[in-house]
Amino acid sequence: MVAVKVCVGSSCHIKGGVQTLKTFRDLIDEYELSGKVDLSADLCLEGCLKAPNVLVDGSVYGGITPDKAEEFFRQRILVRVDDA
Amino acid sequence: MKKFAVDVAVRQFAKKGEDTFGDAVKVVRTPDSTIIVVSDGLGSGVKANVLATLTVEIACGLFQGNLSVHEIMETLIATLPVCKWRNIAYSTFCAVRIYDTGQVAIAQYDSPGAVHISRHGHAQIVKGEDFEVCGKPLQEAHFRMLSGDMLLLYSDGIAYAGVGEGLSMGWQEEGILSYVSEVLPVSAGDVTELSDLVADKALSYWKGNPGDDGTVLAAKYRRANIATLLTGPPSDRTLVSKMIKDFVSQKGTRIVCGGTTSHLVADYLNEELQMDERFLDSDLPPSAKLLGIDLVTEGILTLSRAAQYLKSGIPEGRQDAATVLLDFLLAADGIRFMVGTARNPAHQNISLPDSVSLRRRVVEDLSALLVERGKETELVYY
Repeated sequence: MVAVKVCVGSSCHIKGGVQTLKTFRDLIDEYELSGKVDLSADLCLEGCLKAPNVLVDGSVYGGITPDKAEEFFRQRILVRVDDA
Repeated sequence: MKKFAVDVAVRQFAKKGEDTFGDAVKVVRTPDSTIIVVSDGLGSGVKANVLATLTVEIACGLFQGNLSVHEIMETLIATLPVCKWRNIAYSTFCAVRIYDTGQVAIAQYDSPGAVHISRHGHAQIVKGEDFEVCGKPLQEAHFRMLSGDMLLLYSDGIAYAGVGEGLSMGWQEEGILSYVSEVLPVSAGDVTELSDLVADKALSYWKGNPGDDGTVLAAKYRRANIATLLTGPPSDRTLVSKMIKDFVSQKGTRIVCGGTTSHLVADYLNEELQMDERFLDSDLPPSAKLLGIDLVTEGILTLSRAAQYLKSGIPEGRQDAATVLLDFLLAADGIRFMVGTARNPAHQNISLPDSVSLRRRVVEDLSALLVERGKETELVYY
């Protein structure tokens, strides 16, 4: 299971964190990955200056704005699912 | 912060054919007590209303100034206008002062008997000592209320409900007492429920055509609900543990507003934060759940929004983390804000809306709005 957390705290929320989270949720549905990706929201992943932040299996990635969400999902999340 | 609070609910009706209540009620909160005055002005309509309003204003004002019943009575007699038909200046009153300690002082002039309802449901008429002031017979009583006790005050339109409508002597004190004992379980100790039940029963005896103005006031002395809201990490990181310990040791409702802060509390409690995904579609960050804490939300956006809702109201049907936060804050009598003053560098760099500035300003704004709503607040900075 790939653990993914998307920050929706103050800075990340303003920079579109919720939309990034929803994009991931839609992609998980589309690729039928609900049993393989554990997606949740968080109120702080630290690193507010690089909002919005995403945590994938313990590593934090900054600047994952909604327009970059799908690309990030393919490169960082889908790859891990395929590797697993 | 006050340990006890007094809930007050009032229900009134006017004599048939009148638009104006001939009874008046005034409730004043002082730093150490709640003063309640109910008055029934001579006659009905506007004239009665003027007399009753003057009476409650004078009595409340003088009680606040700690003047004696004697001085209050003298002032009332000297001030109330004389009815040119009856050649008297007259209005009844029942003045009650409930101190935060539970001590109660009641002075009554020609008003029907106040009812003391113990927290176990036993209702009895308050018995006072008779004495005379300026030639007028007064009753004065002193006793103590315990948390959960209630008082019921009412005017003649309640005590004599039904006269001429099938009850030759009216409802009477005994009838009211037995009805109060009967409906207490229904009202579940809620002052609004109780005052409504009593007023509706009186109206039913009047068959919908009250022959007098009616007022019912229910007051409940109870332990105050205190909420503690923690927001922001302390400016000195070595104070984190002290701040969280201070917070989790608070009794009553405990609320955390802030992402970093919520993680600090979760770590301290060794519990996991669970996001509440109900509000993911709102334009505010969602709230979260943490075992042992009543509510967890994001910080300054949610606090600013709660303040905005207090200023301009909650839009119809809106539900988000700020409305849930407000539900908790408005249910409390006193709110203690524990505010960490660490600066989040991101707040200085990203374009936050105008309404969002430093945490401290947002909290002070919210606190002032809650004070306007009758709440007691306390701010502690870390």
